Amino acid sequence: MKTKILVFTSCFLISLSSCISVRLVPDYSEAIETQIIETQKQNEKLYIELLEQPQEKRTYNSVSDKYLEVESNINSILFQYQTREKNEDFVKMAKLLKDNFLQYKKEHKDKKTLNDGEIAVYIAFINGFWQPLLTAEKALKNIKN
Amino acid sequence: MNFDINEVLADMLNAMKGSIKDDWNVVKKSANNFIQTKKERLELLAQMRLIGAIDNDFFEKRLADEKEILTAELHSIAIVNKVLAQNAANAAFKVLENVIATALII
Repeated sequence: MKTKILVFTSCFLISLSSCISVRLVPDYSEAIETQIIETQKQNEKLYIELLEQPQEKRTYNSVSDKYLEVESNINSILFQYQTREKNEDFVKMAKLLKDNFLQYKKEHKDKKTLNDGEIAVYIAFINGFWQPLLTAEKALKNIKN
Repeated sequence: MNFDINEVLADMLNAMKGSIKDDWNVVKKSANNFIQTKKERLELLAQMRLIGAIDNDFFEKRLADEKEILTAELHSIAIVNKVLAQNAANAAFKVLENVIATALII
């Protein structure tokens, strides 16, 4: 009887330990990391190209198509996060990025043109939202299975 | 079957400590990077305000944005910590799995 209980308990513990696997975060995605890097580059390039123009030519209309392209890519990243499991933190970061990107886009539209100081600050601050997103996605590479 | 639960728990704890020790540098590095870029960003903002390149309204809006950046950074650190916790927990379960498998063979 004792042997039967021991065998049963051992089998139970084995099956339990072999199917228990703690999962707190999603799996790493190289595609998403690449898209984050490329879209951040696109976002920064939008501002850097404005700096190459004289101030009076740095209108919203001169780069509106570029804003739309970046916005579309940010939406794509957000969409992928929303369909991935264990993604709550990523979704929140992506929403913060999107909201502030749209805010900066609106400010440019309202201001008509931007000076060098404003552009430098926009670059620094939008990168402030890109950096945590990239850091988090890269951290998923450290998952040991 | 030889199964000392205290010994197993000690081994599981050591596995977790080892896993956390390896991953802790990632947490530290991430946090330090955020602090460094925050310092540079705020220095730039202050300098642009001081030389009059940006007006007060713009300055205040960016200061408000800095709070949202901090929120994003904390979510990022949460992810880094969750990876650390996941690795540590799974390292401990791996020890348990191996011990039981060994004990059954003997």
